[in-house]
Amino acid sequence: MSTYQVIQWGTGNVGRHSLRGILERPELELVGLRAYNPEKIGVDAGKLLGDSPVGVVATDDVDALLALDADCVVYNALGTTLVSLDQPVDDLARILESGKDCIASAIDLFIFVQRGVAPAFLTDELIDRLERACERGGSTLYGTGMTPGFALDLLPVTLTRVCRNVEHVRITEIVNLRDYRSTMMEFMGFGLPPDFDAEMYKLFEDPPNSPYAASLAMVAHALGAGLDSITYEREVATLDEPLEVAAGVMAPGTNVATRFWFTGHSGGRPLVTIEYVWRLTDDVRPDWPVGHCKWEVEVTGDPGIRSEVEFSTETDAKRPTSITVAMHCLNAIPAVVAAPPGIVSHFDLPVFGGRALDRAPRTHTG
Amino acid sequence: MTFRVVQWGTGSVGKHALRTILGRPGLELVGLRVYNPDKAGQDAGDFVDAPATGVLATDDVDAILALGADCVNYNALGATESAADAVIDDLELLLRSGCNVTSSAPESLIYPRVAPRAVVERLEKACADGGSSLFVSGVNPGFSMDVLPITMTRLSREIERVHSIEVLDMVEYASRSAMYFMGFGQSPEAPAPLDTMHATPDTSPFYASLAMTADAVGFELEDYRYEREVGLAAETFEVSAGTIERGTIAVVKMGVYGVAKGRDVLANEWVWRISNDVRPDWGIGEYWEMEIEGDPSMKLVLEARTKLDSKRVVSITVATACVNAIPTVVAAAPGLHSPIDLPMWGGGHLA
Repeated sequence: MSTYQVIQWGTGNVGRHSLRGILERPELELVGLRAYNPEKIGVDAGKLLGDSPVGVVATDDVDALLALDADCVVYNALGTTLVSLDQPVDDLARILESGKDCIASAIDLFIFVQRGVAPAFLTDELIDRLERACERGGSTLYGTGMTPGFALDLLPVTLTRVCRNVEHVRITEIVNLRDYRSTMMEFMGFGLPPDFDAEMYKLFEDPPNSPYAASLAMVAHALGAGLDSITYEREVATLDEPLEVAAGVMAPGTNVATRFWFTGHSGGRPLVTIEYVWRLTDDVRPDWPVGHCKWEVEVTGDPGIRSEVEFSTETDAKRPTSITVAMHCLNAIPAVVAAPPGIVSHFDLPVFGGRALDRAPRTHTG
Repeated sequence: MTFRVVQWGTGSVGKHALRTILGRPGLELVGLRVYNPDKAGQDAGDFVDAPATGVLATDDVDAILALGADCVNYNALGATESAADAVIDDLELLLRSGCNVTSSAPESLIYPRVAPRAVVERLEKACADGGSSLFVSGVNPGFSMDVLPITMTRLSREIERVHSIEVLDMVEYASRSAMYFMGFGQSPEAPAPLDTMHATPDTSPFYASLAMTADAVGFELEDYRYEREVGLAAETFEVSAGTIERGTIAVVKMGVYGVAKGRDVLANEWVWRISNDVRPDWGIGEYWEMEIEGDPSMKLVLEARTKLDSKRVVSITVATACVNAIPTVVAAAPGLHSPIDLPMWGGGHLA
């Protein structure tokens, strides 16, 4: 088995999962760890996870990290992308120039970098810069994740491999956040009046630059079509009485369930729709789908396809969001290291799977 | 970019492929190979109730080779049952001529790593000589028990077991000979051709998915086994292919299992039925289901529906598994390719 030397960049929700994965996999060797929080700097990577030390300490010295010999950097520093893309793009360019391949989950839209197709902020100048960095370093950049990166693009496209024609693809994420202790509830609009413009919704006001644009463009491209436009719509549901959930009490008349969707139009008709149904309760809008954490893919065409995928994990408030982003990054390492230099996507890498960890099975039913 | 494509074969899979090629922007039908001389000279459109295309069917292989097509889509399953070597001869001829080939036959070549060495070497030589590529696929193997579960495991931290099930309703479909072959209407004690076929990877297509999945996720298989269970008719009933007597087989459940670390790590099961009254707990309807046990645990259910072809999806999905691959196979480096060493592609979009 080949082994890969890996630098982990970021130790947040996703980064911690990646770090643990790198440490527990025999084919991966941690050689460097980039942290941001001053309290983490100088702390051993193993200790950060509450385990025994492994001899690699977290650092904020980027020059020292880039001077290391490594096959690949796993870039999960989402925090750096929330203010502006300047810092992460600088990081990526320097990583690539230093001759290391890079797998990034942090910038959603990097899952599909295609001139003329990609969202506006992926300017030619920015793409040129990253491509030059790949060329100088002989290195590869792959953007991936879960949504986007898997459930909204790779999975539905893979399902259409058996379709003769496709009229429309709908991908629906259904999550019940009742047990979710999150500080993001207001950000997502929960507990606010139905017409309140929550912060998250502001991100969607420019649909062609929303985080979903890349997946919509990717699915359309895989079907041999281009998109003329992307539209965004939203509905919310309220209750007449208060609702108590893990994150707090939602006042009567405030948002307790949201359905929002982005549609990519091609040739004047809808071709791909990405829909989210996020609930704090199943007692409103029974006509919307219900579920704990699942994705539905519906392909209208011939053959028509209906597929449903459910995930469960014991970690992370039982939500598989962060762990799946991290694992998609780690599982991609062999394929990305083997790929020729440049910016690559699902359209360039072979089908690959995860690695089966060599450990005894836990007891489970079924 | 438009690819010039020849459709080879007009059987149950070939017709679907032909219809798909004709309806697909980006693919141009330039030739149609038929076996029955009576069909030669007919317009390709006639085979699928489509408008005339100007492309006439031919049984002249030299004429097909002279077209210099980008790709031949080869669906001559009928020809392979009696003459497996003839298929290899065809593939070799096409590949050596510089033509890429997507094919649903022979199934033994879907995963070249475990295919017969001599055949692989012959065809690799032909690909090298012609600068061409070969891609063999069906829907299972080639999609539902390998590409799909492997793709799911991209999100896995730990994988303990991958379990896939195919449930098919054969009541409308089974011909008398297929009924016999599958054991329907037979005594449970009667010798079953299926058991002989699936007992060894040398004759069964069921093991290709096991090998692909094991390689992709890093299971080092120590052993494998085949099992068959049957469900018996409680009452005598009629199907289009004949009478099913009480006490004879109405449902078969076949499984191939891959063993590593002394336990089953891969379990692929097929439930084929002609009655919904027998062993409904094995699954009813037509769907594929896969479960990845580990962290995270994942479950995917897939249903496909078509209005064509007695509403059965098997032939059309075998056809599309091949035709949809054409642009990717043409772009690939010369050689033999498996369903897991090529990048992502999707199905067709009809303009």
